[in-house]
Parts: sequence; structure tokens; C-alpha cells
Amino acid sequence: MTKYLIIGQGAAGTSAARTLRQIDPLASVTMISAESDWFYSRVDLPDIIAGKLSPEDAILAGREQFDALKIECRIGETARRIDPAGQAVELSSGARVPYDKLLLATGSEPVVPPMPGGGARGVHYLWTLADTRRILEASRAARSAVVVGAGLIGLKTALALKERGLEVAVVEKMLHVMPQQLDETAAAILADKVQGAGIQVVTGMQVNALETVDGKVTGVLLEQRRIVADMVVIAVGVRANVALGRGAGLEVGRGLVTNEFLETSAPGIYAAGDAAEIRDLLTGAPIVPATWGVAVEQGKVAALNMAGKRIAYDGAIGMNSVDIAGIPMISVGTINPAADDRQFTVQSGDTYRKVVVRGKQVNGVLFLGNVRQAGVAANLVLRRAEIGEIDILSSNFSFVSVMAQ
Amino acid sequence: MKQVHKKSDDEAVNQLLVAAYRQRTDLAWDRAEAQQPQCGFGQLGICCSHCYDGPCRINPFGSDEQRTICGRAKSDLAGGSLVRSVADGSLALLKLAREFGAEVSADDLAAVMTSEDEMLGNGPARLQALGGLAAKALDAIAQAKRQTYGADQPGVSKVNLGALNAQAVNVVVHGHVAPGVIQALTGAAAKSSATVNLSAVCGADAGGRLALPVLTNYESQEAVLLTGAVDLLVVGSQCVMPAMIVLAAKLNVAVVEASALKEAAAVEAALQTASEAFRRRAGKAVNIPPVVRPLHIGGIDGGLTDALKASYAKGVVQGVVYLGGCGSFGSTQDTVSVQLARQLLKDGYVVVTAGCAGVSLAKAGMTDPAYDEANPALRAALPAGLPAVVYIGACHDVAGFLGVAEALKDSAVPVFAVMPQITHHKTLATAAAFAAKGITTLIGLEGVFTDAATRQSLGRDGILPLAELAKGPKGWNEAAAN
Amino acid sequence: MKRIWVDREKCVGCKTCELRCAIERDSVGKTLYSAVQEEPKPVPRVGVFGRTGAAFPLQCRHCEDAPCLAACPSGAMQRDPETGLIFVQADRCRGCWMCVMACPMGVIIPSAYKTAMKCDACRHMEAPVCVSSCPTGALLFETESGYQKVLAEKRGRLALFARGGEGGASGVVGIEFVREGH
Repeated sequence: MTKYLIIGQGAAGTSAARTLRQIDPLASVTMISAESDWFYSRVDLPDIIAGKLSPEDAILAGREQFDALKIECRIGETARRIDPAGQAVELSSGARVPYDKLLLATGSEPVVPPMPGGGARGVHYLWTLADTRRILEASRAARSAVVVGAGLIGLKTALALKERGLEVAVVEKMLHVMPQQLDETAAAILADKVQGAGIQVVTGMQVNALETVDGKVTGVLLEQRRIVADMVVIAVGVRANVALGRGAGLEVGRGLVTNEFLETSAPGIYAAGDAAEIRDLLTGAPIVPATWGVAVEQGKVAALNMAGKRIAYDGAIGMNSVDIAGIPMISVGTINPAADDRQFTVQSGDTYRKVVVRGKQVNGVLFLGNVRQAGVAANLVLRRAEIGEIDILSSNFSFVSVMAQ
Repeated sequence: MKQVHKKSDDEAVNQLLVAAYRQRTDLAWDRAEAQQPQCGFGQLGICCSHCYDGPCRINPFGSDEQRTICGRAKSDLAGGSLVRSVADGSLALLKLAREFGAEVSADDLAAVMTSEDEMLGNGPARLQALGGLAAKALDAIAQAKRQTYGADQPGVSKVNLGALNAQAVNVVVHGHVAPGVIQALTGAAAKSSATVNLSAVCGADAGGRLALPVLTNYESQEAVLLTGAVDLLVVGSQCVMPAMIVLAAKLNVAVVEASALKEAAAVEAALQTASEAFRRRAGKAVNIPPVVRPLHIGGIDGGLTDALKASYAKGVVQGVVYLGGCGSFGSTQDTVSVQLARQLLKDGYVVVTAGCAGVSLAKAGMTDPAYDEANPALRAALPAGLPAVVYIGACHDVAGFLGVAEALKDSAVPVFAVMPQITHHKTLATAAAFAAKGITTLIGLEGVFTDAATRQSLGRDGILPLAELAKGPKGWNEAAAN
Repeated sequence: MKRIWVDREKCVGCKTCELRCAIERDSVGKTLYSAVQEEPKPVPRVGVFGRTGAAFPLQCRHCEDAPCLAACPSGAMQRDPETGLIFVQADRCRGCWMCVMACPMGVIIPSAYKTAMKCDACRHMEAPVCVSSCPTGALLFETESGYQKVLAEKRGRLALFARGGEGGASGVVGIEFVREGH
């Protein structure tokens, strides 16, 4: 009986556990999660802050579901050390969990920028369900909030806090909101909606320090400006959580370096999800895509390989999808064109679409507003398909246009 | 998608439907079923194939911004198709007037005719003018009939298929045949050595001295031939289903066009053909349902308006309603008009009716002065001998109602028109004619009213959706609920 | 498992399937006349795409290896274990549009209610409304073997047919999205 051990109970870990159970009904599958909550949905977190959902609503699978699959879960226990030679993981409780195959699905953690006042009370990061509960609690007593970082999480959090009735400002050091996913035009459409929701949006400004009184945050200090805040949420990005792997001597880049079978530099130890560094499908460059669907996919592929199936993982591309302030947006691949790329755009009201073509291939697409058919375009990017006669920006663009090609 | 409902409420028709089923003869109901589902774009009038860039259509669930290749918006299509149909219906009425012997000016004809190439035409502004032309045509038709044979005199005839006579030469006139032709046929029949039974299908019936029996209405026209008792079919130019010609050929029934019966010799020859067919039919079984009722025609000119004024003042009568229109394969034949009439009577309205809807009411016995379901107070308030449901002839014979409306114009008596089911354009043009004459007219063409802009412009012109009955004066509520 | 198959030769692009789907599956009134007056406007889950003369009715193919299922972070996208049909449990959907991004067919629709909407082959009805409303019979609701039978019949009459568009332009096609690699 093979002993599979999975660290982390997020999208990748759970997907792997389910896949392992599916292919081997008799194997021992154990999951260890440092979080005290069962497998939950991260997209729900802003809605919980907004009061539209309760934390329980976010739970995707609890004890019952894992028990039914005979997956042993050690929830709220931290894995402290891997012993690759002894094929076991040591928990902070001191317990030793042996394994035949190990999967590190430890996810990512928010980036903590070094900044005076960063450790004060009232300073939060939104990443886990536990963080969400803390922010929810803090927001009850607060009248104003500043969110640092106008990325996906920053904007979602700002809108949620605004819905709770707080005065909210968002500060972004780049020149426009969601710099990772959007170009200037798209960002302007979005920023307009966010401002329309009553949020102050400050771009191109760096937060130099957090202002504190008696160890509690009272505002943020910009170049020549001060914004008052009872609470601050820092959302300047996440990075792969690699501490456990690093400690075991695994090769680390942007995340835990994996080969085409999602195996790390240590034989028998695999990585999947936000913790894993994989290859960009388009460029071959090392990336950590950090999206849900990719994590599920990697969990599945890693599990198949752990069970000895030898399935290659091609890599992924940066893609994201989100609905902010009522504006759906989907960006796939490289949407900021390089020198030799051709760029095509179309804009009508709140709908904006952009296609970046490199050589004969579609290298990136951005759909904002009306995002229908975005998946068809995304698939062209994923497949590195030749664009040929396909006009993605035509009002008639659909899968049938691709079929006809 | 099948909408299963009983095909007809007419027991005579039902008897022949059974026969058709046994003979595996497809009738209009079967073809209607085979047409399901019908195109929603057409139903909404938002498909255009008037040039070869088309067909274009507007997605009713899409953005309002979608336009045809030439730039028409959804409301242009929906409203335009209605106006075009009204124009076509006005043309149909003008042509009938001309066939019936009335003078029709070239200007009037030119005013209704629009080429599809006149791309800026057919806007809603034309509706009033077209309605006026239709009213003019209705007046001309009435005048022609009056001159031919005193069509406005009340008369009594028969209704339903039992009016066919197995022992006589049955000549059936169908399709808005000119009164002159009917008169010629009647004259020749009287001189004939054989017993000739002349009868009509809705549209060819004539009042006054020439009150022909009316066999049935539009949807069940094929049933007439299925009796096996028809010896000659005389067809006019309108409302004859092409299926009739096919079925007549299959059943070896001779068909002659009314327009060919201008000379006395031709009329005699036609009757000769009929007599020969009758002789050939001798001894063969026919299937004539034994269903027939008296049909009272006309009588709205004799004191009705005075009686209405007096009884409305006393609160006995709520008003007068024209209940007309065609039928529909989407519901059981005759039921919609009959239910509506029943409710109107109950609520104290005098009903004037004509055309296919009128035949429905007549078949149900409602045009009989002795019809006992009418509100007794209402019956007591009417001139002696006049039924509470007054049948005034074919759908082109409704000028008399315009006269009633005119006579009541300065009184408080409510006058309105309801056409719950419309098949043909001249009925729609008649609705426009009523509206142009200031009569609030409710039509059951739901698709026309789904476009807000069209709905608004129609409402301004006095044409409302049938559903508006629910918002009208006393009794409209219950009537609309049926 | 019964699936919706398309006989592309028979599609004349009338969009009756679109209208009927919008009315049956997304309107309150359930009749054409009332549905076209509703706000927000009812949305069909099937779309007729392509060019004049080469129209194609497209709805969810219920892929075996369905990218939308993997992409959904909230558990709203599900597969009915009995029928194999994929459907959205709307109350779980958070409107993140991951499935819209993942679907290579473009058949998942972001609805006005901020939930993903897609064809579930009218799983609570006798037959999908697009299939029963198609005036030319271009859509079939059949099992794989039933569809093979139709294919065989067509083979007798036609030299060319194709599955998934490989090879020929005519014939009955069942499209299925298969991920490359595994």
C-alpha cells in the first residue's frame, strides 16, 4: 500500500488527493494543512468581508467529503521539516508522518513590503479565510481604510470594505490599476467604475510609511500626502510559499523548481499549484501562474505522476479572470506588446478587447466588459495557434470561426 | 413544441375532421402542426427580406443597437411590417370595391401602393391615411352592394354545413365574390331545370335579397369539399386557400373563377358543369353533417342607435362593440370569438359582428333573436326582432358599423371594436379604418405590440392590444380574462 | 449518455433554437411575446454562429475532460454523475468567469445576474428545447450509438462526413474538446 502525503489543502492539494484516490482506492492518502479551515474557495473571501457570504459558505469540502474518500486530514497542523532520506515529514507537534511520495502544495503567501509601521495593529493582509475573519472583525470598528496595491485582491477588498460602509482609498505605485492584467485603456474603464463606487483611487504613488499612534495604524504616508485610515490592508502581491522545500534543500526559483512531471529536484517529492515553478507555455520561461484552474490541473498531473503514470505537464500561461465593480475582465498571455508585436483593439462603451499577435500567433488577449468568447481566444493563445484569417475582434467571432479555419 | 388543443368547436367540422383523418387527407390544421415551430422573428415582424442584401433580422434578445444592413432599427421593422400589412389590406379592400363595381380612383390606389424600393416609406405616419383609405373602400363596397341588390335589408338565411342539400346541385361560392356574379348565378339557377342550391363560404355571403346560406368560415373551408356534395366551386380572388384547388382536383370537383363569370353564357355553362357533376354523384354517399341554424343578417340601420342612446342613459346597455376578425389555428376554432361575445353580452354590450368571427357566433346560435344566453335586460332594450349579436355580413360588409359609430359620435354611448384573431391583411386594414374613424380598436396580434415604439405609435392612432380590454370600462376586465 | 449532435448540413441559420432556448430557459413569461419584453433580456444558451450558408448551432459539448470543471473555484460547475451533463449550480457561482476563460468553445455565458450560464441539455426536460424546436432537424439528442447509427445512414448517401471537423466540411459532427497531451 503506497503512502501518499500532501502538504496543503488548497486547489492543487485537494485535486491531487482526489485524483490519487480515484486511481488507487487502497492507497493511504494524507493531507496536512496549516490552516484551521477545511478546503475553501478563495474567490469568496471579498464577499465574506462585504457581508454577502458567511465564512462557512466558502467551504468547498469538509470533513465529511474527505472522510467519504478515506483521505486522512490533519487540519491546523504545520509541517516543520522534510526528511527526504527518511521519507517522512515532521510536524510542529513533533509527530513524524512517513511517505512514499510527497506533494508540496503549500500555495503562496502575501508579500510583506518593508515599511515603517508595517507591523502595527490594524495592518492586514488578505490571503486566507483566517485573514478574512480578522479583516471582517476589524472593519466593524473602523470608519476608514486604505488598501495598498490596486491589483485584483486590492480592488476586490476595497470594494468589499466600501460595501461595509467604510471610507476607502486604494493606493497603487504603478501608473494604473491592475498593472499585471490590464493595459492603460482597460485600466481607465475599470478605475472609472471603482471610483464610481465611491472609492478614492490613487495611482503612481508609493506608500512610504504607515502612520501609527500607540502601535496602532492611523493612516498612510505618501510622497506629499497623508490619508487617514483606521485600518490598512496590504495587497501588493503574493509569492510562492517555498520555506518547507527550501529547508529540505530543494531547488528554488520563483517557486519550487519542477521538471515536466512536476517533480522537484528531490526524487519522490512533487510540487503543484502556487508553490510550483513551471514553464510558460509560450516562452518556456519559468513562471508561477497562481490561478485556480492551473492549480487543479497541476494537482491532477502531479498525482498521476506520483502514482507512476508518467504524464508530462506542458506548462501554463499567465491568465486571469475576475469581475470587479461589475466589470468582467479576462486577460490571457502577454497583453503588453513587445516591439515586433502587432496589437489590435476595439472599444465600445465599457467593452474593450485587445489582441496581441507575435509573428503568426496570438500571444495575448484581453477582454473587458463583454467577455463572451474570451475562452475561444484564450484557447488560441494556449494552443499557440496560427491566427490565419481568424478575426478575434469581429462581432461574429466564435468557436465556429476557429472550426472554419 | 406541439400545442395540443381541440381543432374545432364546430360539431359539423368535427364530423368531417374524422372523415379526413380516415381518408388520410391533411387539412390546414395538420399543416399548421407541421409548421411548428413557426419563426419567432417573423412573428415579431423583425425579419426583412425586401431586398437581396437580406434577409436581415434583429435579435429580440440582443442589444437594441442592432440594425439591418440598410440601417433599420427593430422598431422600424416591427412598425414597418404592420404598416405594410395595413397598406396591403387597404389595397385588398380597394380591389374588392372595384371588383364589386364601385369607382376607385387612381389616386387612392397610388396612395396605398408602396414599392419596397421606396426605402423611406412605410413609417407609422401612414397608418391614419391608410385607415382612411380602407374606410373609403368599405363605404364603396357597401354602396356597390346596395345598388346591386339592396344588401342592407335584414334577411334570414342558414348557417353551417347542413345547408348543403344532397338532393340538389350544390354550387358553392367562396372568396369575396362580386355581388354581380352572385346575382347572375342566382338568376341562372332560378331558370335552371335542376334544383340548384347556392351557398357561400365566409366572404361570399350577401345580405338583403341575396342572403346565401353560409357554410363555414375560413379555417374549415376544406371541410366543405370533404362533404362530397359540392358540384361546383366558384372562387373569388381573396381568402381561398390554395389547398382548396388541390383538394378540389383530388375530389374531382370543378372549380371556376368568379372573374370568368361575367357573361350570361359563361354562367350558364358553369351551372351546366355543376348539373353534370350532380348527375355523376347520384347514388354516391355524401357526408353532410346535419348541423344547420338560422342566420339573421343585417338590421343595424333600423333604430339600433336610438335604442342604444336611450338604454345607455338608463344604464341598461353599456355600449356597442364590433367583434370581428378571422380565426386562428393556434386555438380551437370559434372558441375565442364566442367566449368574448358571451362575456360582452353578459356585461351589457350590444355586439355587432361580421366575417369569420361573425360566422363563429352565428354557428354558435348567437345571432338568433331567440338566443337565450344574452343579458335579458339587454334584449329588452333592443328594437323588436333584433338579436343582441347582430351579424352584418362578410368582413368587407362593415361600413354599417362605421355608420353606427358616426350616429353615436355625439352621444355618451361607448363604441369600440375588437378583433381577437386576425389572419388577413384586409381585417387589419379594417381595424385601421375603425381607428381612423375614432373608434378605439383592440386587436389580438400580440407580436405587433411587443415592440415599445410600435406599441406607442399604434396607441396614439387608436389601436390597442387585446389585453387592454382589462383596463377598459365596466366589464372589459372579465371579457379580457377569457 | 445522450448528447446533442449537430447535422451541420441541415442548419439554415434561422436561430429558432436561440429564441426557444432564451424563452424556455431564461425568461419569466415563457412565451415569445412576453419574453422579448423582459429586462434583463433573456439569453439563449445556444448560439448560431458562422457565416451565411455555413451556420452552426453551438452549445456546451459536455466535454469528457472539461476545462470549466477544473477552472471553477467555487464548486458551482458540476457534472451530473448519472447523465454526465455539466451544469451550473447558480447559488454557488460567484461570477469570477474562470469557466468563461477556460471554455475553448465559448459556450459559457456571463449572465446579467453575475452567474455563469450554460447549456445543461435541458436536463430536467424530456428533450433539449433547441433540439425539439429545430425546424430542419439539424440537432439530434442521442447516445453515442444512436448518433453512430445516424452517421451510418448518412454514410450511405454521402461521400464526405466528418466528426469534429477533421477532414470534411459536411456531415453530422459531434465536437468534443480533448486536451492535448493527456
